Amino acid sequence: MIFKELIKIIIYGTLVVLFISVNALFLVWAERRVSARIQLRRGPIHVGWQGLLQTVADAVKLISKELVLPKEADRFLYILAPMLVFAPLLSAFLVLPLAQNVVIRDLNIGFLFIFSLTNITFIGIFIAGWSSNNKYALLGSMRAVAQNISYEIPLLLSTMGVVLLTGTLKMSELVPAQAKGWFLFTQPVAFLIFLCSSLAEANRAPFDIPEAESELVAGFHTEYSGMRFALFFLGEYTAIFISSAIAAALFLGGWQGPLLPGLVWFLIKTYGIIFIVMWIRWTFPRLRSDQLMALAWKVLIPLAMVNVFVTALVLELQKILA
Amino acid sequence: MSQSLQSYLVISSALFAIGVFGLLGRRNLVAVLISLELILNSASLNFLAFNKFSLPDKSLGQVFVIFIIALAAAEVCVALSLILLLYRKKDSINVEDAKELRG
Amino acid sequence: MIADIFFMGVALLTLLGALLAVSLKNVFYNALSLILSLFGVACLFIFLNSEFLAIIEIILYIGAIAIAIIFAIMLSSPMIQKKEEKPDVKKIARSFILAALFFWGLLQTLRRTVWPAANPEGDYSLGAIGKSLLSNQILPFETVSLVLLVAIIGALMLAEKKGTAR
Repeated sequence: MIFKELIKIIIYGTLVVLFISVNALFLVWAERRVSARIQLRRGPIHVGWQGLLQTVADAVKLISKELVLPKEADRFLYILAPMLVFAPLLSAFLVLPLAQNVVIRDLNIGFLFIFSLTNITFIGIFIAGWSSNNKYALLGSMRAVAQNISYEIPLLLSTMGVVLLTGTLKMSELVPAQAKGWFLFTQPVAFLIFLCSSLAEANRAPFDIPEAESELVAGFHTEYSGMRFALFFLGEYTAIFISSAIAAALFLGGWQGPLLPGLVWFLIKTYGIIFIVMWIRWTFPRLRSDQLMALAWKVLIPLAMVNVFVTALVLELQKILA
Repeated sequence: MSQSLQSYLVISSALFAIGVFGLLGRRNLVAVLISLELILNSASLNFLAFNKFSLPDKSLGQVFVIFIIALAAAEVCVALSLILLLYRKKDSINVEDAKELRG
Repeated sequence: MIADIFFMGVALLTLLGALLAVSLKNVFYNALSLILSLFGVACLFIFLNSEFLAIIEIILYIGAIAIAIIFAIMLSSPMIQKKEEKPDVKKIARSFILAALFFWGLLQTLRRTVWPAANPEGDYSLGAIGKSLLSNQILPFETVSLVLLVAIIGALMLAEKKGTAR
């Protein structure tokens, strides 16, 4: 009995890790092609069919680089940090609703589980900056952590509107509740706030001050090379995938769709949102650190609170008038 | 050790004792604050243990722990600004350097 | 059986984190051990059927309070390490004896009291907490929000540098 569970755990774990690697490979290629089209150039087209193997070539190059350990750096923390950044994102796959009745663990607290684990990612980012013993890395990590904890509040508040409409946090009940109409149309403001906040949570442009390439050398992963840098990168693309998957499940109706199987619709909607995320990256200029904070505290949080208030008001009025 | 009320209470007493040791024995003010957080956590653990094993209304203990966490956040907020103020004045956060009652 | 093994492991992790949090010399390591201990406490909350509180503990304690403590360590530790101070053995011995006395006293009280028993099954759901917060416990709820407001304003006023424009 226990043996069967253990086998299941190993199989699921391997599948998840394989999926993350393939996903990151695909997304890096997609990003380079999308940015190339937006900037009127071609992008990678030589390595493999349509340039799909370009990322494999990059990965081989990264793995073959020397793993440098800076002299004054704190050794244990320096090695621990990339693992802390990447590991919680693996367990976020436990609650994604892939198809009808296919959720690996249908927790009572649903998507809040993922948002709580991303806090451990922030601790990892902070440790990465601190242990590198490098002032650019430290500055980058402090800004990253401040940005992340500020944007977590509108992220959670914007999902509260959806929770009010369905009365449950479970992922397996939030998706079928959209059978009559996607929450994108009943909660448009919440969708925009969610998209904005998840961009900021993943440290992605236009909110990518922490890893700003032209400002802080490379932010908190300045001193990392080779496989450790690859772990940070994998972490970022996985975070984007998970945020888009939650947005698809909460606002776009998850796996529901006419002809194709549920899993295919889920992936189509997720990658659609990822395409929008990449589009945004290459369209808007980067926000300055104080503009970023002002946006979170002065604009997004009041908007999200007003959204929750209006949703609750409309629900109560419906109950009274019915 | 099986999960019973006794085992949870022993764990929270151990956390409390470790927190008291840190509170009284450390010289760095931030370390004292960290020990204080351990003490508050042991109290929350206590509340939830009694909530599961001795209370018929299961939401009461959880509500109380929510209050504990909120109040801990408020207290850390004020304590950290006091620490920063002390650091600005005296350039050290050693408990021994803050013995005067003026300023 | 398996649950008991996990329970013991999590409890040991929590206590290990707490011990490291009060004994290591470097304050930054203390904060990281505190995070480990808080994570162990959150897992213990899950054993006690309160998953929502475990998530809240991770989001608030680890994600906000511990990060605020780490920020304070960064802002208040000198860039150049001053000379090493030798540990004050008398102070540590005094506090150890006091802590051991507390622990022993609590253990004795635990063993001798007969605690009232109730059914461990019940309504632990988030809906019950919400209803309770807004009906029975509304007075402490509003008071806590007032306390939070006062704390934020107080902290901002205390930490303001002299000469900033009002």
